[in-house]
Amino acid sequence: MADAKPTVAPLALSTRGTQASSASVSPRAQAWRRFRRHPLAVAGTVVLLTIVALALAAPVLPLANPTPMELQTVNRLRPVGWPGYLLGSDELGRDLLSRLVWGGRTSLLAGIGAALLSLVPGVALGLTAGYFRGWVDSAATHLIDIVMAFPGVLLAIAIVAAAGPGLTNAMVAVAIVGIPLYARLVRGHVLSLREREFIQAAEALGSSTPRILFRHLLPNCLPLIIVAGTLDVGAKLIATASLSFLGLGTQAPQPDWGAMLATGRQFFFVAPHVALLPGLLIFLTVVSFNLLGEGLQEALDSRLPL
Amino acid sequence: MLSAFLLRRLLATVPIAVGVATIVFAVMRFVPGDPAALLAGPNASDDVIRAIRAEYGLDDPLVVQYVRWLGRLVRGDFGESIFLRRPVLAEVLDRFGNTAILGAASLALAAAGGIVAGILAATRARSLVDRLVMFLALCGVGLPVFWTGMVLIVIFAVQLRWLPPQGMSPPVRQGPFDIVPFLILPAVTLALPSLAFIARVTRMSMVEVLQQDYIRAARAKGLAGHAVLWGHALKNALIPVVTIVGAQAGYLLGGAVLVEYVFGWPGLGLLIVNGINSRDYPLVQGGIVFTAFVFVIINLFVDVLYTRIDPRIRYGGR
Repeated sequence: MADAKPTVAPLALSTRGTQASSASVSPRAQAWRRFRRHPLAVAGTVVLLTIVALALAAPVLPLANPTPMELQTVNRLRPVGWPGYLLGSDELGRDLLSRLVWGGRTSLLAGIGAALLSLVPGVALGLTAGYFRGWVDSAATHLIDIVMAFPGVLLAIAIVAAAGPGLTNAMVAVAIVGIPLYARLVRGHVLSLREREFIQAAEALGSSTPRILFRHLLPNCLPLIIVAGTLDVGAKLIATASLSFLGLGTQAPQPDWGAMLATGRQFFFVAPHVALLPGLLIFLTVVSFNLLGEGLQEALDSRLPL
Repeated sequence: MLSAFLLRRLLATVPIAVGVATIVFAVMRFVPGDPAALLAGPNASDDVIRAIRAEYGLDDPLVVQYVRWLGRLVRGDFGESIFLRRPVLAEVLDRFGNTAILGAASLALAAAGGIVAGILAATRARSLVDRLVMFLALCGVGLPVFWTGMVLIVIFAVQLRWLPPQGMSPPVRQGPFDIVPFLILPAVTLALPSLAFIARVTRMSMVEVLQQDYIRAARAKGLAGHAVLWGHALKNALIPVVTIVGAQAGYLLGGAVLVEYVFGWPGLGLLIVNGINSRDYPLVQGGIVFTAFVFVIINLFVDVLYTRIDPRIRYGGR
């Protein structure tokens, strides 16, 4: 993700109403109109909604048990289209379609959960650092710099290695590593917002600090947070799937795209589809989240300092 | 001017390095889970755990442990690997070269490919080529490297048999260049997401620069299209790209862990993953601290480079 440039002061959604030509249309309708203009963003959203709907509906769909107690070792590693196994079966004879749909629940939860878990503290940190400045800001900035000095998912790997493998630990580890991203973006944006007239007016009127933070600054950061968050879900999904792939995330027999890839890898030369299908779904989901994020960026404000 | 900046920037890396070491220490000590039990393995008796705790000084007060940890790092003592029975730093340095080869090859591929693709798209802005390149770039950013690696192995190693699927060199080495066929697939795998990202940034920056007045002026005075592009536009368009390339170095160091694991490339990342699986806790800790230090140094380098290529940046009165 690009560096936030604190000097850029993009127009936020709520200040758009001043445009004369669109005075009669609500900002939300305008945003929707701009979003629709991007066919790829719409396509990505449709794909994404389908994947999410399938994952949510897993318990009511007519699917085989993803984690049966009795294993059908006769029917192991069946190819796509085998009778009774629409997408084939894995190394223990379990139905791949069912495991992909159920695995989607785990993987989506991990990605969205990790993104939210870094978004909330990150935004809080960025808001306070940007608004109060002084020692709060320099402490926060130093902490951000240090966490960002760890390359990629390496710090998350260290945290899970110490805390022990598991989906929750993997999610929390990935989330911690992602906090600085939000903190930096929001801090930069708040630094420029706090010099604007509406904040100075609120201060002059004697608004309380929480009111300025949550009623004035936060809403103006929302477009930025929404776009960054959407784009980040994809990154977090890959990060948590990476940990599961290394055996540090979701544990057997629970289905998860990353973990399915890892076991499928052992039978890769005989039955590549067992590993390729979950990877394809990770890829599709991440691209869809990115398309949605891009569309939102265009719709809300194309000049967000992302 | 520059030397004063260099000195200040160098000094600023010291607290970052200390902070990195502190975070690794904190993670290993405060995260739930007894390091001694972790070291001893799942079936160890209490006596064994107690002995290990004494041996590694885990009974000492945290402050003592912390200061000892920092002191050892300063002297280059990263501890001793439990399974390999040799100093962690020696092992890490042995493997780091291989990671550096993979990382450098990927970075070169990503930068060259990304910049070319970005320029291609920017000079044909809003055309079909532009749209196609940008769509592919958007997809590329979403590629999970552990999956791409496996797909490339199926196509180029299993089906076409053009390239070897695993490892770093043939059993009998004939020269320094016989690793090249082994390097291609992992380097491409690791490079693709960065390449895509660099392409997007280059395009964005180039489109912006091409709209500037000085470009119009250059065109107006009758300069040929390519002279404007390469002589005037590219130089300025590449400034934000350089920062991105620096940040990508960190991404590549992290992604190398997965790519090395998929391709059996004997680098630092594979060492760390194997260390986790064999519960070789000093090795994991040392490997991660070392990688983070390398990244801090890369960042220092990029910052200095940045002031060199962009004369507008003066880290004067900070």
